[in-house]
Amino acid sequence: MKKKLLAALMAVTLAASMTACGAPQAVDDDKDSKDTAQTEEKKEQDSGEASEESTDGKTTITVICHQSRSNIGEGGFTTGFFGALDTWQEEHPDVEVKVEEMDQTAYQTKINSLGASGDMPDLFMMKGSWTKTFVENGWVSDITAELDADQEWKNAYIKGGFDAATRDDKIYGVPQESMSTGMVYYNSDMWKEIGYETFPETWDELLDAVDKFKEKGITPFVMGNKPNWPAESCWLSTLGDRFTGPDWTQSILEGSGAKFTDEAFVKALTAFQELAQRGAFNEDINSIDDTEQNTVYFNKKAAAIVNGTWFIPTIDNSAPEDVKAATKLAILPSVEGGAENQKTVSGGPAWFMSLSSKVTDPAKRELAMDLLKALTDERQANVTASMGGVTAWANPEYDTAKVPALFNEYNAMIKDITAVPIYDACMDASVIETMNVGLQSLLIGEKAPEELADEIQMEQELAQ
Amino acid sequence: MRKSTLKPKTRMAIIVCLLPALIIYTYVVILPIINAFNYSFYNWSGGPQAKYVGWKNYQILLKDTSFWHAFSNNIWIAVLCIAGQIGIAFVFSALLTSRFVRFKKLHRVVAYFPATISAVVVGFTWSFIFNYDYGLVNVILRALHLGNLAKPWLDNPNTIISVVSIPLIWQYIGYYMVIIMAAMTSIDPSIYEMAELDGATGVQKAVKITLPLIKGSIAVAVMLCIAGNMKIFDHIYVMTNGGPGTSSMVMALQVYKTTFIKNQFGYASAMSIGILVLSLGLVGISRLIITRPWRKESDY
Amino acid sequence: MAELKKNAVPAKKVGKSIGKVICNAVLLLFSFSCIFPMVWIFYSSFKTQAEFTQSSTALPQALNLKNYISVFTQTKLGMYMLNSARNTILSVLIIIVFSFLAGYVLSRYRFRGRSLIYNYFIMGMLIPVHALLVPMYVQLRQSGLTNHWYTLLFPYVAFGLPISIMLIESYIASIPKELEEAASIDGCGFFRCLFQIVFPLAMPILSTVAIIQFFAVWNEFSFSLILVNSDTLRTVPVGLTMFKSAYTVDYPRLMAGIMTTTLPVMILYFVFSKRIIEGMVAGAVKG
Repeated sequence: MKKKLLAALMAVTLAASMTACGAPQAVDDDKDSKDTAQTEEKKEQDSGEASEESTDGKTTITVICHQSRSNIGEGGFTTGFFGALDTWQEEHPDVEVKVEEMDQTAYQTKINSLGASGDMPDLFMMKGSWTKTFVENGWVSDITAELDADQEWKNAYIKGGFDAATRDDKIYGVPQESMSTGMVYYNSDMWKEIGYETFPETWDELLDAVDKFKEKGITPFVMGNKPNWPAESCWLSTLGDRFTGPDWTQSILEGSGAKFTDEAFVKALTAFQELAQRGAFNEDINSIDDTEQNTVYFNKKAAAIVNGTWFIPTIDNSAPEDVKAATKLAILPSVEGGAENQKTVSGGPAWFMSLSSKVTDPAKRELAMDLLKALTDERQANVTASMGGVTAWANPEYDTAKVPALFNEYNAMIKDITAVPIYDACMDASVIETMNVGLQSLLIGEKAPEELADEIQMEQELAQ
Repeated sequence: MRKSTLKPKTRMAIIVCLLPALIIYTYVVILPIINAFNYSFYNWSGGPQAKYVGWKNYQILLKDTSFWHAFSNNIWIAVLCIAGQIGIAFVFSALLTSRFVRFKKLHRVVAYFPATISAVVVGFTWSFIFNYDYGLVNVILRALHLGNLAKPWLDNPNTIISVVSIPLIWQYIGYYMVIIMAAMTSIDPSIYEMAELDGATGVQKAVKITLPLIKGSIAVAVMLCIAGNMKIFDHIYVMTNGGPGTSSMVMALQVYKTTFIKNQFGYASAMSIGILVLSLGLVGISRLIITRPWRKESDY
Repeated sequence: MAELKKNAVPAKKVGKSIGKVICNAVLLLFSFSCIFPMVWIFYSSFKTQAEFTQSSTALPQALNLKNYISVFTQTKLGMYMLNSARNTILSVLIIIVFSFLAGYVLSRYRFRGRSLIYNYFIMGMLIPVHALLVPMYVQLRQSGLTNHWYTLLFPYVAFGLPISIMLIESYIASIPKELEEAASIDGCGFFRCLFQIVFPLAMPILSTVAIIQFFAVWNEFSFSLILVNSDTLRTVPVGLTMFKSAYTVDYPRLMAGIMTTTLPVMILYFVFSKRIIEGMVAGAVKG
């Protein structure tokens, strides 16, 4: 009895564990493709869309994106992206483009699973902070040659546009949309009431304003930091630069000496914590998301939000008329004893369109690169800009009369402001995770600035 | 029906009954675990160059305070949920068998309903219920002039575990009610009738008759509860994302972040094996505490 | 209170009936809370994004069907629902059959290796799924089993088995086995006995298992996200994530999506829950 059962059990276990031994390895295509060649064809009939190569000789290009067609018409980039995709498909009837759509959280899970399984789609979106891992894992293709061959294309992007997707002078992705993450959106009516005609330009004025708002029972800044990146991406990326200057950040990125435990960065963390302890933020800072955060601002219970440029269309669509009319743009005030240039804001492209290293066939690679270009050049950018989205394409064409007023205000003021790196768009993902989690504790006084700096530095050393 | 008396035909039947489940379970659940166990000996970020590191990941895990912090959170949640879910479910089930309760059918039907909603929707609903300015809890408190009790419920690191347990308890009361009520139906009603003739009250009946008779199902429920709470993920992810800081971090969420945000597949695998071992230990302990007396003399 | 103190016996009676009222009130309150989330999601789904942002609890100002129109025209939720329905029905059927067979044998027969096998199954409940996503994907893909209409049945059935076997095993252990023995003496074969006598007796737990697994499968997200790639094979939980965009979530539209996909299941649940309760009662009578 026992023997038979165990024998059966072992047979199953053994048969399958043959595949289980040895180093973790992605599906080996050479070994695998022959075996599954026949099943591939069957698969085709079974599910219609399962296989990678279509039976009628059409080339198939697979694309995976953290965008969804159901949001067309709402976000500028989404609309531009699918518009360019559909046009390209129409122009290439002999190619089948298979797109897998999802939201950003699901995308992060899926793309890493696909990568680790050796099943990366041909074109995919890569976050700047993933570049190091993706390159080291050999998931992403070096496209420097194609870009160099098409200088007009390469040079049409904003300055530093390729930086976060570049490693060792090789380019691994083309920027899609751009953004400034640390813009101050303030309700100018409310700030006038406490005596500020414009947004404070020095840190001391800012602290003074915080005190005045507190007296009136108004939250000075509302932050929805539950997803835990806003404190870092929207605040610290700019505030950090106020103290450290861009050279420090560059040195961190290159791993050439700078440390998170350096005095300047700790000073930035300290200033951030002091601001929080002074009552600059809402009490439920770590438990609300962006929608709940907007609710507070739209109901005039908070006087300002520090948020990215993606907030412009949201204000335009969802804010009550009076709030919309009163909302103005600014950048964080300057600090004393900080970096030389105090007129900076964290900004740049965070996401890049990349080509899988699995696309080895030259003809297919050429096609895929052509599609990649369509998804990132003016065909996409013009639509994005005309809906109030910031593009990585330097000079998109659009009708300034038809975009939200704030978008024009932004474009006018950003000319005099230097963009500095967005931490989570270029620093290593595990460093960022440690920073994000730690900032939540920092802001409610559960963690000292030095302690957090130590933790981030430890993670940084692990990552390198 | 001792093993010595099993006829060959019966043996065959037993094998036929067990095999389908064994095969698919082994192939889909056990093999990937073996693979994950294999991964746990490597330093692997997902690419082709995995580096064999032996037991190092486990050594790191043993010293990883954040993991043990998450584990202690899991334990707290499990304790609260065993008391809350099974305790309340038992009380409600007992109430639903008493005569004075109205709308029994309605209660039975509706109580299970939250368990049918996905964890993501539950978490999302409750984060709005707990919202400081506009959430239902604080709106009611303020309406009752108890505004000073209104709090940012999900922001206090000291109480966060208890707060996030509330939706968990709430959602699965109905789940355990179904299990407990199914067990109660197998109790012979004449036992209650006799007890009533002896003048037993409702509480006495519940504690002295029902509880011992359904002990087996309670043990099952406790195990389910431990198992479910050791891998709790979606609720926490949606409500707090593990925050503030790491104060509501649980083990499964940490595995998720280690795998898909930090790309440390090897270490995350070691963590998962760790979770498996810890959960096995806990279930073993719970079984020792609630032994299985219901089959001591009855069946075999 | 003063009145009550005059006479001890009525006081006790009054106390008892107050207790009864409280019990009823608590149950009613709990039952109401059980449907509250769906009520909230229902009325919120008629709001505009602006309305919702300005107040998340207020009733909608007008009956605005825009979200539903968007759900039906801009997404393929219908197709996702068919996929989910197919996965769910097939998984539940297979789980019931497999776990009934295994649970029965494990409960009724003592043989060497029995508790080993039992514990082997139980272990499956303790496994955190996220670490298994990658190994499972690699393994299924090597066998050519990913991205088919039947792909998701594998994890759903396999992960549904442990809890189902456990519940069925413990329930069958609590059923007296005289009937089976009598039938066996009358010459009733193993499988006839199993399906004609034990199966009806186990109905209550089988319907419990069915309902638990039905919703577990219907709501499952991670496997569905990882193991299938084609849009034509997507399930509802993954489909719903498409209502989120990068930086903002259009909650009312998401809620319209949740409503649309939950309503058929809700109706199904309320229709069948009556029968499930009857099944339990039936179990009581026969057991």
